Amino acid sequence: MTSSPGSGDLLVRVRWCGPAAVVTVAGEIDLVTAPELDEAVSTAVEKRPDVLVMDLRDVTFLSSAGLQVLAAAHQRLGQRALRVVSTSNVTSRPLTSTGLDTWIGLFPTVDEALTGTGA
Amino acid sequence: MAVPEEAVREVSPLSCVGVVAEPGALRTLRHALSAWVRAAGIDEDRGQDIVLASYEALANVADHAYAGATGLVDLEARVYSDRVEVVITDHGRWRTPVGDLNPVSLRGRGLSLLRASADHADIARGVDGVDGTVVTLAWMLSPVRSR
Repeated sequence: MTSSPGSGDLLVRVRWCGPAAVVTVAGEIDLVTAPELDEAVSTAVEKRPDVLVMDLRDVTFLSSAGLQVLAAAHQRLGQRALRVVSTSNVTSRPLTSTGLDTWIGLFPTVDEALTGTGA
Repeated sequence: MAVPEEAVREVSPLSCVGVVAEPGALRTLRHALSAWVRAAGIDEDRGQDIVLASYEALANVADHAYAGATGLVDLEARVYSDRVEVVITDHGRWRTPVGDLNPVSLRGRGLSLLRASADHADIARGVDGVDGTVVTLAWMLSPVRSR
C-alpha cells in the first residue's frame, strides 16, 4: 500500500510468450496513469495476441479509469482472451463489484492465466 | 459490513478546500485521504473502499463538472460515533454517467464503483439553488462502543 510521494509513474512491461502477450503493471492506475496504460495495452492489442494477460499483482490502486482500459481491451479482443492476474482486493474488487469479472477472467498466477485454468 | 469499531481512533477531520480538479492534484488528495484513513486506524480493506469511492467522486468532478475548464473541489473526511463520512463538494455541474446495461460498456463504471464501495452514497445537486454537487459517502461503524 505504499507509494513513494511524487512518483506518479506507472511501470508497464510487455513480453510475449508465443501468441500470448503478458503485460506486467506496477503502481497506481488512476486518471494520471490510465492514458499511458491504455497506450501500452492498445499497442499490444494491435498485434492481435490470442491471449492478453494483465499481471496486476503490483498495482496498488485501481480506479474506473483503469477498468475502462481493461474493458476497451476486452472489446477489441476475442471472448476470454483478456485475463487478469490479481492476488489482492485492491485489484480484484473493482472488477467483481462492477461485474467485469464475468467477461474478464481473474487468475492467481500468470501461468494459470496463460493456460486459462484455475480461475 | 461495519468497520471493526474497536480499532477506530479519534482523529481530527481531514479538510481540503479548493483543490484543483485535475489528475495530479486529485492523486495528491487521494494520498492525503489514504494517510488519514490509516491514522484513524480503519482496517485496510475498508480503508481501500473509502479511498476508492472518494476518488471516483473526485474523478467524476474532473471528468464532467467543469467540462472544458478547471474547477475546484472540496473534500472533508470525519469520524463520527457511528460512521466515517467523506463529503466531496464541487461548484460545477455533476453529470450522472449514462446508465448502461452492457457490463463491458465504457461509461458509468465510476458511479457503480462508488456505490459498491460505500455503505451509503448520497448525491445532491443544486443545493440551495446554487450550482454544484455534494457527494456524501458513509461507512457505518459497529454500534457497540468499546470505550
